[in-house]
Amino acid sequence: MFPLLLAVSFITFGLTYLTNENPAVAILHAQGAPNITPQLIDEINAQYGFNQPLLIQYWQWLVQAIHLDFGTSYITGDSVAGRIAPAFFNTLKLTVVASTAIIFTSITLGVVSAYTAGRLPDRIIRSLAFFLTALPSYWVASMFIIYFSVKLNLLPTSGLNGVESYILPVTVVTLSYAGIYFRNVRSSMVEQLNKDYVLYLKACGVQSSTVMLHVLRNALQVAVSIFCMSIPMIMAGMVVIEYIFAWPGLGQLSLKAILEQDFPVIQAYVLIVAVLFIVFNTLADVINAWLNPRLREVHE
Amino acid sequence: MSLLSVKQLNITDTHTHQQLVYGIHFQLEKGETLGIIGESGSGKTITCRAIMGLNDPRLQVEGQIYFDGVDLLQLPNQLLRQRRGGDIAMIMQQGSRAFDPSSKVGKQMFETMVMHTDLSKKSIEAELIRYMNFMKLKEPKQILQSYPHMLSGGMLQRLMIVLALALKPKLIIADEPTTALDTITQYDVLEAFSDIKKQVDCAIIFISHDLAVINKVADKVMVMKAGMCVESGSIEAVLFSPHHDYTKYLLSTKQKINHHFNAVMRGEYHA
Amino acid sequence: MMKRLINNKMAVVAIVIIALYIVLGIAAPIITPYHPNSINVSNKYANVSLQHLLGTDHLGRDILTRLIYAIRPSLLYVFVALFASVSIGATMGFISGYMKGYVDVVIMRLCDIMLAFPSYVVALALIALLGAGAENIMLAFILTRWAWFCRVIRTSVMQYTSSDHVKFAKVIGMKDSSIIRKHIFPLTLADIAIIASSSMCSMILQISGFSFLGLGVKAPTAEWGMMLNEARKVMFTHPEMMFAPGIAIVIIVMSFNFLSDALQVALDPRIESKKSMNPTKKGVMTS
Repeated sequence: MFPLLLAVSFITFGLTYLTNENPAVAILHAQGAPNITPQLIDEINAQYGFNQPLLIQYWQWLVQAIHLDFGTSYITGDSVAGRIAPAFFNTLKLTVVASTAIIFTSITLGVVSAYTAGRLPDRIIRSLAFFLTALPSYWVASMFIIYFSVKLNLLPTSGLNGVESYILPVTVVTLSYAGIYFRNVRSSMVEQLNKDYVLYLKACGVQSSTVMLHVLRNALQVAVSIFCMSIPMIMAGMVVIEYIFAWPGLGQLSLKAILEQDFPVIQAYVLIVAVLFIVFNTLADVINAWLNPRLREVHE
Repeated sequence: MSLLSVKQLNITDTHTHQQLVYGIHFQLEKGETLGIIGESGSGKTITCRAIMGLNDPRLQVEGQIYFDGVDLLQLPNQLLRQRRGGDIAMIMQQGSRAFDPSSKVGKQMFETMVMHTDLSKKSIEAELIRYMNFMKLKEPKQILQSYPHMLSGGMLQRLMIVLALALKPKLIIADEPTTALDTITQYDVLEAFSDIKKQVDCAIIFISHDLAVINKVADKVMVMKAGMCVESGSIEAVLFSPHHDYTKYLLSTKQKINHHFNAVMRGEYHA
Repeated sequence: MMKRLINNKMAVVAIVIIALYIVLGIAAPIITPYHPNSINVSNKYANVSLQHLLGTDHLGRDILTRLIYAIRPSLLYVFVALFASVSIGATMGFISGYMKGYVDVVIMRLCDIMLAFPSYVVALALIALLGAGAENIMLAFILTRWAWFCRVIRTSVMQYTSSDHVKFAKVIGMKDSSIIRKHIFPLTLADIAIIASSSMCSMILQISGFSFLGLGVKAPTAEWGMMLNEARKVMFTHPEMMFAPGIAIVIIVMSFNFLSDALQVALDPRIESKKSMNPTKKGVMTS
């Protein structure tokens, strides 16, 4: 895990260094300096340490990053961490709510679909899921805004102002992702339902709810780790949703940074996403081992 | 009145419109053991699953299955479920696949016992351990706390028998319980079945394709081929003076193998 | 396999639609009545009419023309990116699977690292670091997707190299390259086709997503995501602007989805018949 993190952070930093021809110029531009003289460039270089070799710069950056100090923004001049923190939490809130909704919807649809496999409810759900995965999320979001916010005036169009603000973004995200994950749940369930132990449980005459619990426990093992790995993906994909709904989150922040080429912010964003990704992957493995007793034996 | 009376059982596959079982007709009294012999694909398993109502919904079952005077095919699923386990217990072929791989074996057995008996947790455990000792399973408490992948196929098979006995059903359906086992374990399981016959007062339907096994445990026999019953009767009648060609064929091939085996053992062939 | 594919009606429809898009995209200058960037502000937001089959946008440009021209960056460039990543992935995969040993280990490690992150995140990061623009997006796509093809092809190659007819070919002295060309290539092509078609879906959605955010093609290039971005600006006054590009995207993505599913089924006909075998296989005769 850590070597990977190190590699990713180095690549991030390295790429920035390579593509950022003259950060001093960028900073001066942003500061609105009318005349860019070599003197000014030297001053900036000294101030920010751009003259030092790559590895030293990288090391400094890394050490600072571990202390959650991501430097100062090229554009606004204030602390990157200070801007990222509230944005990160806003995105986190949305991600958590959306992920919960996605998991809940996928499992429900997957179970219903598996139990009625081949029959009408299953076919309807599958066709619907198929259609939903082809829809671009920003298109659906815009449609929803037009319809629910403007025409019906039911929900706020943007921003984060209380519980109603969550409804549209979460719905859009759920529609986009549930179609994909429900398929995993369904195929796991169908696979389990055909197994011998299900027949034996039924032959023992236990309640159908008990049977379902046994089946779910096995079927969801794979699904749980997929869900876990998907949370950072959902978080990263929030960029589009945050843009449309003007949600004051990490996605919006980094979008601005990308367009303005504000590199410290970009570096911080990429690093955070990479870290989250690696952490959640490891978490998924841990959960898998906890749920599947056979895997546990391997570790013991 | 017989315990189990199957009349004119027909099973059709609604997807392929193929008839899988034709007019099966047999009776079973309390305490009797019926052996059903047939090759793979002869319809033995789906006939017995029909008794428990466990066939895939696409298999259409017609006829009458009277158990204790009630036609099981007319019962709604809820009432049928109550009879499963409590009145009719099942033992499957592959012990290693019969238990939920993510639950401890004891948990699954407990759930079944709780469903069908009013005993306290301690009494259930005591009952299970009693039968586990009867089936010669060592360290019963540890076994109950194990996961299925930790136990061998033979042990799991015996656990299924333990559960079947503990439920004290009126009928046990054993679907090729010895087929997946090695010879030594087979012997143990068959001994157990003989003991069950002597000590417990329940009817048994024993499915197998092995004539020797049927000979050892069954009182009466039904021979199935391609979904039909070709011959039925008492053990002595069918196995020693068969009428139908197919039965004769089964017996003769078995005899040939035995004969050859004995000849090799006597040293007559250089095997 | 081709025969089974053609039997599936939905797949045929999908292929026809895809072909139609491709042809329209390539022939765009010939068939469209207007220039995609010809601005005519006095005619903005024109309704659907015989002159403008889908109306005009906020700058008076003909929407249908822009829609068809948009096929180029949205679809055709993506094809190029796909072709590049398939080629790189396939080459690496063949080398890896055929050579085995040290080379294999190195390439697989590389694949692992590349596959550890989802393509969207890496693409976003690369765009962040390299700057916006359609070329950078293509680069990001190629960089993120070659590893997947490499892995699949390596598995196919390893499966097929251990098959008997290839062993025989080696024994009678066929050159390695001929073996690859004649025996292994046709079989792995099927696997490649399946992954490629589902890759197309995600790539089309992603490139229009990035353009929508302003990270992709630059205005005034016609691109579906870009058109949706422009439409969004007037979303509250002219919501109908959002329909055409959105529907164009949905249709082509669904077509590729259908194609991918159909290819999977056609490749493995057992999937269909497995379903019918299952309930009856336990001890029932099958004539």
